[in-house]
Amino acid sequence: MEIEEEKDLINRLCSVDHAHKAFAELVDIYKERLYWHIRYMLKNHEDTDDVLQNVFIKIYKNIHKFKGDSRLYSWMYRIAKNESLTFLKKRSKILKISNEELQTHIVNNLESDVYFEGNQIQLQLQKAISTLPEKQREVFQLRYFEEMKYKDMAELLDTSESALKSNYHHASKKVEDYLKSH
Amino acid sequence: MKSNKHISDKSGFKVPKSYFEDFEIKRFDIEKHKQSSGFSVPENYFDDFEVKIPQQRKLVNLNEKQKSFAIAASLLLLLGSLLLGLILKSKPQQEFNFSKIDQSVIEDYLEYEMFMENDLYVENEDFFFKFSSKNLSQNEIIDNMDDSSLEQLIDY
Repeated sequence: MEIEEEKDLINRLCSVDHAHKAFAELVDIYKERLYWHIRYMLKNHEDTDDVLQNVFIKIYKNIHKFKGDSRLYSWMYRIAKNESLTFLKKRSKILKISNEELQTHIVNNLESDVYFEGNQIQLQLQKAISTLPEKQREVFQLRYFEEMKYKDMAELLDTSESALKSNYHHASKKVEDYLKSH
Repeated sequence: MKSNKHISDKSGFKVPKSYFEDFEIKRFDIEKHKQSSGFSVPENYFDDFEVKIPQQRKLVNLNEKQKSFAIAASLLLLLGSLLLGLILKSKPQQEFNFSKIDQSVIEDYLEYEMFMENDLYVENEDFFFKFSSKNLSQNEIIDNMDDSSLEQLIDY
């Protein structure tokens, strides 16, 4: 979406008369991208659906606080990321396990998940990803599954391209080592 | 033990010279063998997806007569509270305990107040919530809630 179109959408979202229609437009444009960002973090479809609902509700309620310091999508991405991390924290608290143990727990559930249609290699790949540190996991998934350009990722994560390349390189090696040894 | 036997005595098969000395497990190249995530979604999920916005509380404009009534009612409530305070003061005070706070109040706080903070989303790689006017962090609240309340929260 071009910057001018984005500004127009934000103006309509903040206007009493056009907010509902503009919001429906926003949901239509961004639902899939946000869904997949959340899904890669949570792995489970039902959890993703719940969190996506909350993300859009927060966007709707807080759009007037968006100051335009970044692109609209970067702002929404941060909301989605924070919501997903909060969800994971609550889940680990309930299960009384650490974040690392929760990652293993989630990925082990994939084998019986009706919305996971991966083969053995894809399952092993998910297990490998779950062992990565949080930042490397995020960068790896954005690059590997979503094929996001480093330039766009740098804007989204507010991190330099060289740091992202380094993150991806280390993550890839760890994933490959995991696949080699399992 | 180094072996130079690259020809089998019995079968006659042979392998390249130094094959076993140079043998190593080849790295699984994830870029060459690109994989998709394996995740799927229900049929027509994105076509049918819609956001259910909760109904917002309506603001009611009060006229002068209603304002006077509201002020009088507030004063009456204040006097009542003071009187109740005086009565309770004569009784031994109970120690404050976090678990005695109504859990629905905490849930409402989490749901409708906390996320509305202006500086909720911070430009930092580490994930944390910043509170401009409250002393309690979300994590502190979660740490002080019992499991059943958290289960209810996570199911919202």
